[in-house]
Amino acid sequence: MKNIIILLIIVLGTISCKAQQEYPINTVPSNIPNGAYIKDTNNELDRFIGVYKVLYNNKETLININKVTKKPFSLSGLNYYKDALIIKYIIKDLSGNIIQSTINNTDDGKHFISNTIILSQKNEARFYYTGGDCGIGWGRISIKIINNSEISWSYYPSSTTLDNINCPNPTDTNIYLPETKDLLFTKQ
Amino acid sequence: MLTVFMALLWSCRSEDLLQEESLSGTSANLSSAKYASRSLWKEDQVYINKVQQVFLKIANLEHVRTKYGELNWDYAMSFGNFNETYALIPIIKDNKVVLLMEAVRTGNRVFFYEKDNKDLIEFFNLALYSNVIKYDEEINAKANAVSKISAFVCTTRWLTIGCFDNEPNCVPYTKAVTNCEFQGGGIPPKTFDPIGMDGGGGGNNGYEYPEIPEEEDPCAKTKNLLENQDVENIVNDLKNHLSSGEGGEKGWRLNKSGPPTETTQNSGHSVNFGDPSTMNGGYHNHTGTGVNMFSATDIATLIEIVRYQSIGEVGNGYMGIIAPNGIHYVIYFNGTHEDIPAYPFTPKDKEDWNTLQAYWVDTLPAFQANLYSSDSGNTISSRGLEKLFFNTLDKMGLSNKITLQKVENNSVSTINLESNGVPQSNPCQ
Repeated sequence: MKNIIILLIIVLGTISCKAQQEYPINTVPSNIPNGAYIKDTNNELDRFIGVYKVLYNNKETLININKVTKKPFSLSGLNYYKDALIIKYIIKDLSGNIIQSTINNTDDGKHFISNTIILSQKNEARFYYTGGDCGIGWGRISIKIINNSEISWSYYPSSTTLDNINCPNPTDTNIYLPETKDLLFTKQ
Repeated sequence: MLTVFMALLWSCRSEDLLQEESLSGTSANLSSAKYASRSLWKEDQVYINKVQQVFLKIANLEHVRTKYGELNWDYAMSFGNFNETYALIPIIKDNKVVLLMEAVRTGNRVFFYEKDNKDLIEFFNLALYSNVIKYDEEINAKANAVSKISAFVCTTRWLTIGCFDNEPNCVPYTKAVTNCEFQGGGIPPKTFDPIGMDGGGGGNNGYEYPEIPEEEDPCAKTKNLLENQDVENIVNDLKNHLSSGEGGEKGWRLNKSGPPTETTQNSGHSVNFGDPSTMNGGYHNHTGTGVNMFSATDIATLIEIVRYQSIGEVGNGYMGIIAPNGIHYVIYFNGTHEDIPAYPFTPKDKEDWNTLQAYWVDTLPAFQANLYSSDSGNTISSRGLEKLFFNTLDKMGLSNKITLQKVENNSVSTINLESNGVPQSNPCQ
């Protein structure tokens, strides 16, 4: 009986080790096994962490870039973990009224921003944005570290096709994130 | 001379008798009698003829006779012509139509189903055994607003039964019946068993269909499409929209009936095509800020357009995009009705595929710059975008089910994924 228990522990341990298979930070979560862990082994994400602000097109945009260790993700039927940069934001008008805020957002499918790859030599982190209603505004974001107090922001929204079956009633088709390239944000 | 005269008389009598026997179903070999259409309407005779060949090859006629009755092929109806895909064959017992056999082709397989529809059976009875004085038909695309995934081409046929001289109080009677082409999904129809051994239809595998009709060459298809005045106007309009600097997206619906109409709810980065069941195709522009290739939502809308195309004509649905720098792509579905995903994609599916596209736009040029970037990995090349498209199809379960074509200066190329996984452009002749 004791031997069986030991054997079980070894087997479960082996399975557990397999489930924790680690992958480099720039791995595309496409052809990796379930339970894989995309790990920031060299702490490349840390330098992007911070709170930044900009005034653009009469709107104040504040972004909070945070690192979440071993965050669970689910993508196209695959469950995996990733050390991820997550961007949350607040957009206000000139009177200070909040137009859009994701600070308390817990939905990883809407207005959710997380990194794709890190180009350390270029001081750049690339992100994907899921967009809002029906994915409207989904696209890519690039953050480049300019110096100790500034980053540049580039947002590349992509196209979304809607029809009566695929998203019959989007409530908001507007995009509020700064839709421009090389916009300088200041560290707070 | 007399012998010849008698022989001619006998011949006429024989034909009459044969017709009576055929109609009454008393002929022992009606099911195997050589097909010669006697339908009042234009039928897909090539299909009915081939289906009969398939049927006779595999059927146990004794079993069919006992279980169902005799098949009267001469009165088979295809309710329109759907490129050798659909027919109803009446089954006769005791001088009346008691059931119909539905023959549906998908690819190189033909499936047999029981069609026990009271209206249709009555219609066939009238067509076979009554004094039809008038008949007509109308073919329409029809959308089912409830199920949404069941939209189809429906054919309505009318016939009017006249009165004989010895029926003074008789009023001519008109019967109309609408039959919609076969659609996959939903509750499977009851299989017609021609063998008496299995569930019929080869246990849902169907029976081999000879010489399937050739699909239209995708190059010829796109050339024809681009020569269509409506499409030409739309392409020019979208190019003008891009060059105007107005910004945002704009789209056009190519409707099944009526002229093209503009998409609604256009915004900075979205267009709304509305009801896909009433469309043959759609065109819209991408602004150039994002991925200048078909997104998962573009493909999802194509799938809904295709779902509502006639069976056998699913390849007619298309989607085109125009983007800055002369980018112009067209996609067609090249699978069969059975290859259409059974249900519309979920929001989570589409969100995930968008996310993956965002990954690939970053990773393909960054890590495979020699293949997918023309500027040392800074941006993705056309080939990279095409690779991203094929990757997306793979994730959507649509590999090899959609044809991608590129239009450059009025020249069309078909983009194929080579065995090494790299897209290759093959110019149309």
